[in-house]
Amino acid sequence: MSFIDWIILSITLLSIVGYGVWKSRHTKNIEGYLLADRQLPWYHVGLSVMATQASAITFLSAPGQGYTDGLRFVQFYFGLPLAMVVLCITFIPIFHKLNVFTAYEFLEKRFDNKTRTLTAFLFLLQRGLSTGITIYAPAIILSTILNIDINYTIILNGLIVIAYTVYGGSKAVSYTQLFQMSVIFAGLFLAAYMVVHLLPDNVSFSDALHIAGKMDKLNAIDTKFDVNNKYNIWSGIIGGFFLQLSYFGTDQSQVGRYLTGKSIAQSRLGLVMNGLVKIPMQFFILLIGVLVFTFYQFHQSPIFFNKVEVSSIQNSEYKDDFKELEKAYVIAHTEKQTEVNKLVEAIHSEDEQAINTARTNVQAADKKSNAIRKEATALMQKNNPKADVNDTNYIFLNFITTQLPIGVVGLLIAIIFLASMGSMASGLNSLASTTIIDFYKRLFKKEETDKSYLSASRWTTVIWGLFCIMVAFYASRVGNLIEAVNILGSLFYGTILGIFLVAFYMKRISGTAVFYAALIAEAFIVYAWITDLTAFLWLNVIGCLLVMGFAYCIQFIMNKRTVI
Amino acid sequence: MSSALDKQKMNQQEEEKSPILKSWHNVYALVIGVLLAVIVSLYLFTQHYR
Repeated sequence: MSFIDWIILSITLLSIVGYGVWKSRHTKNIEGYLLADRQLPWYHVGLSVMATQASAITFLSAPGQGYTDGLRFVQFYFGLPLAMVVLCITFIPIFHKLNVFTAYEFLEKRFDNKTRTLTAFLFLLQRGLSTGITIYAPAIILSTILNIDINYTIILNGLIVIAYTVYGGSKAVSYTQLFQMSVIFAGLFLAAYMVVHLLPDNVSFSDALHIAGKMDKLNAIDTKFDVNNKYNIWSGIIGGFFLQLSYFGTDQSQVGRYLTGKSIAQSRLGLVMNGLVKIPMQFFILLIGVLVFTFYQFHQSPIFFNKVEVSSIQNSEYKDDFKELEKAYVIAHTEKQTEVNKLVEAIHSEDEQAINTARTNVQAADKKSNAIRKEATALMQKNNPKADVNDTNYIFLNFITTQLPIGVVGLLIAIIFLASMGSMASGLNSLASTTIIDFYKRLFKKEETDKSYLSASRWTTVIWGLFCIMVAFYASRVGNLIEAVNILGSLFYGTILGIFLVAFYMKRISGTAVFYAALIAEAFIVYAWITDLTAFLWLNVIGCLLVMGFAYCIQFIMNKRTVI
Repeated sequence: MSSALDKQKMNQQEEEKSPILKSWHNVYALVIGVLLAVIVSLYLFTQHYR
């Protein structure tokens, strides 16, 4: 990275974080620290909700996913607008009326303390692990740019976010996120423009889409129903609906965002904004990945995008074998490029037969390139069985640092940092809120002063921050990061959502029935995941329905016993 | 008693009133309508570039 890029990166980060910290300088009580005094307008709520969900993973992993897997991941978000509507109708009015700090407080009012504690515990477990993974993602960037061990960059990133969140609390998180999202949107448009601009002169944006489409990368909709297919329209609408409803309705990192709204209407409008903008935004990010894929049909791509692993094998006993594979990869690319140029000519001539022939040849050439790439990763594993052979998260990063002009690189790296900071800060803030409100204040120190709770909240943020850093050390082993976070969520969200839906809609079910139902359902979900019973999105639906079904049965048996 | 009920009713009406599109039902209809339009557009997009 050049000196100018470093300057742009530093100014962007410091000014936005500085603004957030400055706006939160008067935070003196627990309500201000955890919920920004419940005074924010709808656009603040909406952008904050979006910034919390859009972590650095979104901007590193999603374009990589677009590059390798096409647009089909966009279907994952189809259930989100529907979930927003249900949240606006049911969850928001209840949380606002009860004036709660966390979603789990409501469960004690509806059921009992053990159900509240169990749900809060499941949340802490899930969110603590997920936030650890979100710390790992931007650490990859620093590690690649500075060429230092990733463990050091994890510690550096983690400590910066801990310091900023401990000082500012929820208000700093929200004010920072407002500007983060503005810069992120601007940067994304710039990135898309730059990719198209870097395509050869005879290849227009429309041609790029045609090439990607002919190589099966514009697969945005798959209507075939298959429970083992991770992304199709049905898993997106049904499974995605349950996952998003659980995430936004029961995950304190999101509940804490829309509880900052100054009224029910302002919180609702914030979620409606999220429902309208999220799918187009995600489509756009994936499309950038697809365009990067098209770019590399005309330019030589590295055989493997993770420079650290490449450097490791280049200094090993297999360096000659790797060199041979690199040569073969270059030759395969040259052959593929010839076929891609023929495809462009066929597209320009609108000759269907020529297009079909060229498409078959391009796909065959692409298969050959991929086979060589596979051999290279196998060699890396042979050299080091612990090698990270999944380079999806490095594709966009590699493109930014090697292909884009000075200045743009600094801005795009800043965006990835900002996104990471937004979601990490929300995560840490929610972990602290739940620990203090649902455990510390409820179970241990019921009658302390506001100042004492504020101090405890700050210390809890530090402890959770350190825990997340520890988790981040192991995150490199989980493969695709965005998928890992969603799988982790799917393991717990279904059960948690089931508890909340029973609370809202099954008025005759008691706390004891739902508590045992949740324990049984969670055990089954973990078993289903270990045995690979179904695609992970369906775990949300199954978990939720199991809790509701078991709760009904247990209550039925309890009622019968009471009668006897 | 009657005044308390009236106040509760008024609060409920106030809560139901949306700052845009006259009612929350219209806002939710907009969200679902946009979702359907996006899915159809993406389907046509996929078919066009296949």
